[in-house]
This record gives sequence, structure tokens and C-alpha cells, in this order.
Amino acid sequence: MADKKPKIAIVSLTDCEGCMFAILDQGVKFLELTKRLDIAEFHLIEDIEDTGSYDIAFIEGPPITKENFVCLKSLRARSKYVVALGNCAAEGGVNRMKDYDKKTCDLKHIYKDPKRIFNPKVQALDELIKVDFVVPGCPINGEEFIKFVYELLQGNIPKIPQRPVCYECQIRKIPCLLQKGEPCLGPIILGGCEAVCPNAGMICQGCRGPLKEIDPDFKKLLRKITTPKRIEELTEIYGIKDKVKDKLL
Amino acid sequence: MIKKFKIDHIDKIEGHAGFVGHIIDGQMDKAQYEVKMGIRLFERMVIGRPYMDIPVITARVCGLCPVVHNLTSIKALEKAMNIKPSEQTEDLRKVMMFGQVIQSHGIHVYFLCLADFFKIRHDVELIKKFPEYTRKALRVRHYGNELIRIIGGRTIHPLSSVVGGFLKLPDRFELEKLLIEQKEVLKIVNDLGLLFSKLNYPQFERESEYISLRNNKEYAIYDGEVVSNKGLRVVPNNYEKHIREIHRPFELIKRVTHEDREIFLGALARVNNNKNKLSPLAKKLIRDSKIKFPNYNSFYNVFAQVVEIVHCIEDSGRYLRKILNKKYSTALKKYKVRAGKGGAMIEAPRGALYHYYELDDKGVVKHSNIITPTAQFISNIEQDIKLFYPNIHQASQAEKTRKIRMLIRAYDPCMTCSVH
Repeated sequence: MADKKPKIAIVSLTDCEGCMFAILDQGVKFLELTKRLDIAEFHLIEDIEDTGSYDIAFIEGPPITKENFVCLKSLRARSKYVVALGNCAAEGGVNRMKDYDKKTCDLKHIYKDPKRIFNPKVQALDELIKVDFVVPGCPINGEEFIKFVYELLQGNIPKIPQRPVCYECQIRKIPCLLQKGEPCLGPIILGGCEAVCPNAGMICQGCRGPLKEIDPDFKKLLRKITTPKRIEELTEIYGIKDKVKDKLL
Repeated sequence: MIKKFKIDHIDKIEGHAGFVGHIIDGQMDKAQYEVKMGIRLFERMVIGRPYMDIPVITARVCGLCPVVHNLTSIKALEKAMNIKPSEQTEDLRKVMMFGQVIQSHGIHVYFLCLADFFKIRHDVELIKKFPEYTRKALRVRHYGNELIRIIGGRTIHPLSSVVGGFLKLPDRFELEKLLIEQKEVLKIVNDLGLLFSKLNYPQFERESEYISLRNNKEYAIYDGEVVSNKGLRVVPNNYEKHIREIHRPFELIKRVTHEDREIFLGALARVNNNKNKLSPLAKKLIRDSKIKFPNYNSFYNVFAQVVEIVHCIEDSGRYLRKILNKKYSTALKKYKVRAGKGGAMIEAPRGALYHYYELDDKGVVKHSNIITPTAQFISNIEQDIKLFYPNIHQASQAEKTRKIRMLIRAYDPCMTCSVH
């Protein structure tokens, strides 16, 4: 049916929902999108339960409750494309920090009866289901999201160029923080973020995840600037440590 | 016979929650607000980490109010290390907070709550019905977002605000542009104010304990003493000593009471406690609306948020002018990392937020506590629902559900924050 609007769902599991707000923050551009799509499930703008199937399901955050796991499996089964929305869905995100230091994050420090609390290991969506596409970032870049949606609607899986954050800095003439001696992860992290962090004076901490190929010389450079401990701390913030530790530590 | 009243999922609030009540003879005997978010353990995950990473991490407690988590942790860390930020830094932070309140309230009153009053269940329908108001609401929110972006570097999860000040100061030309936009937005926000003053708020009254910051100089958002209408008056530094955090088995949140009473926090508490400090146009909106404050109808938290949007737009102009009238001084204050303890509070859009940290002499976190507004007022929602229920007992199931959802939404709960 050519005149039928594509049906989409935007769903959050356990996370801060910042990516959903990044979508709403697109304002007028988001309004345009609502005209071209049937947004059947997006709990911030509607309260009608929908159990149908979707052309695209955008999923934010990793599953941490039992209901989250059920919801994730169900959405995969009901959707043509599943898109991981943002760093928490793509890499586990800040949520992974509770699993790095098990002793400090033992539930007994917070809950009197920890056995009753469900505390699964945080996993990225692609460790649990097939993911067709990832919108990276913490939060996502809203403009980039809108662009991806239009590409997906044409049946194309978007391709993000494998260019580092450094490329973003260079085309914007943002002063290099690495050259100033700060442990910026820009050279090994996927660009497309408009270098929003370095532009605000902050080093890249890797929220968009590592490039597929990491420059083997970067480790030497980084180790001249900072300690292995600091590299570990930095790569833990957005849950990318396990993916990059062989190359950096 | 006990009958169960159940709402599996309360949509149009931040995060996931449900509700269960027990009905006996037309009365609600038990009311249980159910939090349906997983655990992330922010208070523990920050332990062993250096202080400079903490505001980055804690901003991620919430995507709707990241600015206030970021700034409250910065304030608490500064308290712990005995750092006094410059007046310029505090002014810029205050403007970021105006932005935070405007954009968060903007989403809540317009996109989460307004549809309830017209029995509309999908905002796409609301947008079609009110294209002009929608355009205005989006413009108001955009202004709030821009205040955060220009100063903090990004709207969601700010970047340049750090312990001691800012990594980078905002472009003065951009601040001038904001000031021009402020004048425009101030004109259109009045129409939204009138729209919300004329809505059909359900009749209900229950006086709660209203806790908020208070400041002699101005309407308290960024700082002040913690006060209530029941005699609470303490400094924020050790707020946790004056209230009680309660763990119930099976629950992921720590509820809060003050002297065994449930408490209300948020816009209604602030307007009730500090209405004489509101900006002239915010006061005028209250006068024109003929809505009385102090107000004990929790549904009017929505209107109180609209009043605060007006206040924050108006006051942001005052602060932008103040910042632009002076030459910039240093962005970042020099300070010494040292051991210490410190707690701080800022008014988040949905109520006073508390962060507490203990640091060792290397600036590594040894202990932390975060008390969010939603965790503090959840028990008050339950008490409200119990008392409100007999008013709607005769209505259809769908109508009862709608009204109870409306009451819950009026509080603007943030489930993500509540568990953290």
C-alpha cells in the first residue's frame, strides 16, 4: 500500500531518555517527521498501547528490568528494522560502570535485601538481538537522527563514514586538545558529532564508540600523555573499555 | 471486598511507572506507585572515580534534567574542596538553570499534560488541533534549550560547566542574540500563560508539606536555604540529616519523609513558598488568572510550572544583561584539590535536588548520596490519589484511569531520576 505511512516505534528501556528528548528538541523538524510517519509508540507523546508491528523500532538504553528483556525480544519480533538509539543501546553506556567494579557496586551497599533486586549484567542491544543500525552518541545528534530516519524510510541502511572525531575538529578549526597534552580520544572515535565536546573545551571521551580500525600508534601517543589508570577510567564512562583495551592498555 | 485498581503503564511521564490501588467501599485503602526502571547505581559507580568525571557521569542520571544534575554535583564538589566560584560563573550557571526550567517545564506542560485536558491521547492530534499554540510552545522551549547550549556547549548533557567555572566562556555575540530572542519569547509566552490559566483543573484540595529552597535576594532556583510551610529551615549542606530516606523491600527507590510526613516538591511548592519573589510578569499572570496561591490542589502544579516559565524567561533577560554589562573575567578559577565533604542543592524542574560527595586528598570520591525530587514526592502522590479517589469512584474505569494519570502527571515525576 503506497499511501500508507510507515509505522515506527521509539521505545526506551532503562536509561536517561536523553536521546528521546534530543529527538523532541528537533522541534519543527520533528513536527515535519510526524506528518510523514505514523508514530505508533513513543511514550512521551502518546498514551495509547500499541502491540502491532513496525517498519522501524528505535530502542534506547540497555535492558535492566525483566520487563525490559521481554520488551526487547518482542520489539525485535515485531519490527522490520531495529535501530539502537544512542550510546546506552549501542555500547551499554554509563550503565556498564556498575559492572566494572563489582565490589564497590555490590547491591548490599544500597539495598537491605539485595537478593530481591534484579541486577543483570549490562549488555549492548547487539549482544542480545540482531541490530540493523546504530545511531551513536550520548546523546544522539538530533539532526543526524532525522537524516538517518529519512534514509531508513527509503529502505537504505545509512552508512556513517569511518572518520575520527579529529576530522570534525580539523574542518571546524577547533584547537587540538591532544596537542595541549590532554588525553582526548578523538583519533580513535567515530565522528559525525560535529566535535561538540572539543568545541566546548572538553576532551572526547568516546561516546560514539570506537572506529572499526584503530591506529596502532595512538596507544604510544596516549601513554606519553596519561596513565593506564586514567585511560581505563575514561573508556569506562561510555562503556567502550572492553572494545578498546587491547589497543590502548 | 477489596477490588484492585491497576494502571500497568503510565505514559507521558519521564521513564516507566505503574500504579496499583486497593478499593474498599468506594475508598482507596492502599495506593502503591510502582517504579519500573532498572537499577543503574549512580551513587556507587562514582566511587573510586576522580572528581572531574563526576558531573559528566551524573548528568546522565536524567536526559530531561541533565543540567541540574551536572550543576548540583559541581556545587557539591566545590563545597567539598572549599572552592568559591566567581560571581560570573554563578551568573552563567543561573542562566543555564533558567534554560533547564524553561525547556523541561515546556515539555511537561505542553507535550505531556495539555492533551489530558482535551481528552486527547496522541500529541500529533494535539498539534493538529492547536498549530499556533504548538508553534509558540516550541519557540519557548527552543529559547530554553539555546540558553543551555550557548553557555554549556550542548543542550542535553552540558559540556563546558566544570568544577571551578567553565572550560570555555560563551560567545558574547551569541548572548546578545539570546537577549533579542528573550524579548520576542516574552511576548508570546503570555498567550500560553492565558491558555493554561483557563484550563479545567479537577477540583481537589489536600495541603501537603511544601519543601523548596528560599533566598532573600531572588526567586530561589540556584541556591538558598531549604524551607517548608511546616517549619523546616536548614542549610542544604546536610539536608539528608533532616529528612528520612526509607528502603522498602522490593523497591528500587529510597522514599523520603520529613518528620514522618510525605512531602511535596516542585513548581507548586516553590510558588507557594516564594511567590513574592517572582518576576513582575509571572506575578501578573497569577493575578490575571485569579488562581489563589498558596494553592493546595496538586493539579495546579502544571499552572505553577507555566508561571515559572514566564519568570525564568523574564529573569534570564536580567542576568544576560548583567553578564553582558561586564567584561569577562577568567573562565576557570584556580583551585587546590583537597579532601573534604560537601552537599549542595539546586531546584530541579521537579523539585529540590541534593548531591553529596566525600573526597580524598587526590579528589577521588569515597562516598556519595543523591536525593532526587521524585523519590522525595512519590509518597505524596499516593496520599493525594487516596484522597482524590472518592471524587471519581462513580466514574467509568477509563475516566478514573484518565484522572489518576492526570494527577500523577501533574507532579511531573521522573522515574529515571527516582531510581538512578
